[in-house]
Amino acid sequence: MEGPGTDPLAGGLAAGDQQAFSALYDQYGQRLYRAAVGMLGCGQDAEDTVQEVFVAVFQSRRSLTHVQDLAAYLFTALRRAAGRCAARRARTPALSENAVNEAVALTAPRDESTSEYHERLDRAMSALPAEQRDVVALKIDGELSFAQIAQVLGVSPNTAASRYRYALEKLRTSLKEVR
Amino acid sequence: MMDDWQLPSELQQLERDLANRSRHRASDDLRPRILGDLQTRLRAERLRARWQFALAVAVVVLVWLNLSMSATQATDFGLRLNGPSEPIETIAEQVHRLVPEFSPEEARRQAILLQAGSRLVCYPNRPIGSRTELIPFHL
Repeated sequence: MEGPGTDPLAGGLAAGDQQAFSALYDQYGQRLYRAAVGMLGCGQDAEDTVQEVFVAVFQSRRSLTHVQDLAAYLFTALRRAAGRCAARRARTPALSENAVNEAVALTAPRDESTSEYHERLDRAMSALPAEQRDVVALKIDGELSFAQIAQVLGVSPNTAASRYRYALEKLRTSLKEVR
Repeated sequence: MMDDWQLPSELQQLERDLANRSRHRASDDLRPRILGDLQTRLRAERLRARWQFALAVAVVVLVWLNLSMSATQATDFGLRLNGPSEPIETIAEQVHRLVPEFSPEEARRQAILLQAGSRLVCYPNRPIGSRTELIPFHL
């Protein structure tokens, strides 16, 4: 997880260097995608959202040299794009039945019991309130620190950590209920 | 800091399970799709910038041409014809009155010279000795 400080990529991005955008995708693309899947619960929507983030970064690239934490910046853009995507498609950013199946299909092959457990985890995630689900997606899938999550959500690091802990406790409870 | 914050062991296990489940990967064509899109946008932006530069240059040239034409029209370069513009006969009469000893033919000749000289365009003086130097015509 990156600490604060101007990212060395920012200069290349600001100059419109194609290699810098390739490096940006290689560094953050999959993390952004996984976090988008966690927020939206749909692989196709997640891909569209990640593309929207890169386009937004491209359009505002000249101001990137002033960005202290590029990861927090990207995930802030991702969260906004995910919100727009959810609103555009007129559905809550929760995992639908089809989306869960799609998400399960996207994962690497694994044995049946593990797959079932992970599917239950995805379902439990989808049942979380949006603000808690976003924290889990940013922490687990986006691999952000609480300080970065706090920047993304516009809350204090303590609040981000509390939401994360509440989310985990709620997940644990809902998994026990299913058993 | 919050990242050092310890979760109960059960929640830590759940955290690990969540991390293990989270192995979704974007499709292979997402990378080329995004980078291709950005490349297209970059190319379009550069093309637009070139056109804007060309347009700006054209505007500057047009304004400059317009200003220089206006300045040309408004500036007096001293190219007006000087001296008499009356008919030869009138000038000859005036010459004859001024210099009665001139014969009518001589007065007419001087009148022709005067009128011809009045049509000369004012040029800057050339260096002495130049073969094409114009001899200023004075009354």
